[in-house]
Amino acid sequence: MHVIVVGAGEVGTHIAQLLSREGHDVTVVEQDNARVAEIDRMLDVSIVKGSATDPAVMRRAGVCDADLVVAATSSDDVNLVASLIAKLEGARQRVVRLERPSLRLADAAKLHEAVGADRVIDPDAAVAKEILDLLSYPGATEIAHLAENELLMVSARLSPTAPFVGQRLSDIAARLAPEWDFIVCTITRDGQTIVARTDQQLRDGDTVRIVCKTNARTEVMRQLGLAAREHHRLMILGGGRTGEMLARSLLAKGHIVSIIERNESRANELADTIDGALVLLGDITDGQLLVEEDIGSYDAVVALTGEDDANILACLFAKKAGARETIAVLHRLELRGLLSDAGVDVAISPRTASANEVLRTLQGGVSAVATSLDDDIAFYEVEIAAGSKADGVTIADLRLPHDTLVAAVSRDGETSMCRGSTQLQPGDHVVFTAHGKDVEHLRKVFAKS
Amino acid sequence: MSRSRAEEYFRPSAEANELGSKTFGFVLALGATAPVLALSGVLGLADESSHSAVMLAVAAAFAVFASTVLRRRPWPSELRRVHTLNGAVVALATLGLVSTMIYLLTGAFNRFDDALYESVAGVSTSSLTVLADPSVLSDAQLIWRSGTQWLGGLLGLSLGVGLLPFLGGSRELADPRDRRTVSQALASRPVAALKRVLSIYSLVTVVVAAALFAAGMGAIDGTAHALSSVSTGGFSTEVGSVGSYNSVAIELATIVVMAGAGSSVALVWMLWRRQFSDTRRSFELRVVALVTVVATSWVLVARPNSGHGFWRDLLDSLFTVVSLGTTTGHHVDDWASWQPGLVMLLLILLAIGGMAGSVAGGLRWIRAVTLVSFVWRELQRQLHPNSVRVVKVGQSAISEASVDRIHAQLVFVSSACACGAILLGFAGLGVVEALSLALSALSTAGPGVSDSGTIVNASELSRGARLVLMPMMFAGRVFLYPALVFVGSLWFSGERSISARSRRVRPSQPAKVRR
Repeated sequence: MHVIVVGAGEVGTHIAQLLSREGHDVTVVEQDNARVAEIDRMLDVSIVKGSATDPAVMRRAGVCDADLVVAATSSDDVNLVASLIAKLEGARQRVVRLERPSLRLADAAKLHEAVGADRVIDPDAAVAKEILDLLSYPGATEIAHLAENELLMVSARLSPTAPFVGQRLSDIAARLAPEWDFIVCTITRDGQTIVARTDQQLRDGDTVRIVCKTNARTEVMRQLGLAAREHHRLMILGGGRTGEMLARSLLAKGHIVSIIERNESRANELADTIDGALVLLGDITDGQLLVEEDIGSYDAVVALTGEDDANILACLFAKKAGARETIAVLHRLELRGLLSDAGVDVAISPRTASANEVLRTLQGGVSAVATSLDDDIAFYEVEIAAGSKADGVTIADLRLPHDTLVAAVSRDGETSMCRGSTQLQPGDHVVFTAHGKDVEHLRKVFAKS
Repeated sequence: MSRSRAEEYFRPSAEANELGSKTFGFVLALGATAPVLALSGVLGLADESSHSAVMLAVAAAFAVFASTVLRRRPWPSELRRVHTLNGAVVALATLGLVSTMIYLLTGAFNRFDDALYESVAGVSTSSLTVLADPSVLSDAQLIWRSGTQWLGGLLGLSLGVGLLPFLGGSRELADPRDRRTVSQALASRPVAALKRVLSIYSLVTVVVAAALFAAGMGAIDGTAHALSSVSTGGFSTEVGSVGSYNSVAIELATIVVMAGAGSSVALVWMLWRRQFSDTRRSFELRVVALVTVVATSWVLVARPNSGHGFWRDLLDSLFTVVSLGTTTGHHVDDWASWQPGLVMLLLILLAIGGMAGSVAGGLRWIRAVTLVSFVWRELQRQLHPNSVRVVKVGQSAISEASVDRIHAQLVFVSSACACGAILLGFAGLGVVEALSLALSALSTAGPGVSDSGTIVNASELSRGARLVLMPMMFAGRVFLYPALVFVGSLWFSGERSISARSRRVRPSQPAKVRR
């Protein structure tokens, strides 16, 4: 598919990278020389230098026959104009990043229709939602809702006390047979992620990703050794847009929320507009302030400022002081692997949540729903097409690529975990995990080529 | 400040021929008095006393004088805050003096101080009367007594709703919905707002008089009670106040009137325009409704059993709560003899008074809620020194300047109450009586509680005590600040020096009044 990504910022670059990895023909439109040079060095994509508000530039990028245009700059105005040009020039689908609330509300539906926005994304809102999900499952490092919320993907690092530790997957499967409510899909050990095999034994410190039925989540959380008690007192470090959205959602759910914000006028604004939150003025790396506010007594501390260093430092401080869980938003991901050992339980990036939103828009049979920053193994959903290679064939006979695991199938509203003997039928919705490089091949297997 | 700017500030009114604000207040008070005097005279014609003739003659003289002056001399072309406050104080004082003159001319009182006290109680919408038995007055005098309360209520309403909001006064404190309505629905300009306030006030009075007449009161009683109820005055033509009629219909009608008078005019306007959803969203209204329900329930449970049955007790309890909560002062029970806890509750309701933008006196609920929010913020600051908190009322943030003004007002009310109570104590009153009367006078309610647990009538007070109460009632009616500003302007040898100061700190030009 031919995809044009407008804007090579943090979000745009990640989207381009994911799509490129999946084998799509990606063109990036960017006007900043430095960014153009960096993208050229990093990614295997075409680059058109210029403004996306210029139809000539968009035509050079091939907008006329583009399957998807993703307008992902940090400017709402540029994104709207780029989408309008894409619509007028005949691009099939358009995803638009919009941040201003007035442009995202239902009242703006006519505007979306006018500029041809098929899907609207907002990285801040996506991050806030992702954190909200994580806070609902204390201890989990990733959460994704699959198959219209019938299935849940939970990722967690196994603690020494987790019941799973020391067990072989085959033993777990035998114990739960004949009905499985969950399936272990991937194991990350020593920085390497592999698709789980039945003969593997789970160890303390492994990070596992499990797909389970949503109604079995409590049992899965118990097996993973995660806390059954939900967080109640939460501290948000950084009162930006994401922090504000997160605070509002948490307060609506009855949580006790404190926010630390460095900018005085912004702190005043938050105190004025958010009812029920304790807004504190100060720097999140000010140890005296954190001690004074007894940061260790909070169930969860979420660092959301734009400064990675400050986020990490504050989370480390909070963890050492006794906070149950710490979540840091990171924009630079080089040191991400070291953080969990140091005391930052979860590190998330604004780019992944937005990327998942974009990838869901992609049609053609397969759409990714959960990507990871750690590896290129992602979770995908696909509808089995009549006449495809998978039509009427058991999973074992499909001869899927190595490291591909079909986890669950949803048929006529019923969801079940898959085995090798599961026979696929047209209309089935299948959730599987695979490397990005294999997606093109899998598309041909599950959907009509 | 440059010489030319200073000259501009200290220059007399823009037009040399223009009426000064104090003169304007004086003339306007006489003009406003004329129709009420005329009404008193006309309704008093039936009882064949000579009072009606006196009142009609004075009314005609005032009407001619006011119309002549207002026709020949231009109105003040520029509305300034200090001038307006001074004009209002002069108008209220004029009303009091005119009333004193009427009482003396018609023989209602033989002594000047009695007439003056009754006049001040009237124009300050207080129900604390020196008349042990109001029925000694003629019909014309009774209507005039209630009419003075109506005029006092009109002045308070004009000042609080029609003028001050346009001069950067208490507008910010109004509920956002009310604020929108005051500025947009009521009117966008002061003169239009004043006209609308006068129309609503007059129309409601006529409707209430008709309703009370229909409920069983006579024409004189109905008119007198209408005049004193819409103004939250509380003067009654009967010794036992509304309780004398022993009528459910009259009690119900009076409750509705008092509740309406204690509500913001903007809310009444919204109800009139059937903007029910906007009305419901008013935070202050919800607070007042909740307090009324809780207080009524408390009174119902804790009051002595009257033997009249549950529903009648409920009605009487509601009546007492609404009457004192709106600083009206009508009564159907001797509530002062109830359990001390209940009496304290009722006195607190009386001190807080009605809603902002209403005829009622007292601190007002919006300010009380603001103070609670402020106290909560300060408590939080003790626990979290770095916390940033905004004082809020409902969804609206209150500016620090407004919070400061409320603090100043609270200090002023507390000081005035304390000084008044001390002076009343020196005048021979007991502790409870002195405190309750001081509080009641400042809230323009009227009733106090004697040390023996009965409702106090001014006829039982010494002349010294009445002398203390008069300035307190007066100050309470003009929302305290104007009284202070007026005294201040006299102290600083004329209002001009104060207005110069106020202009220096208010860079924006004040609104202009256009005819």
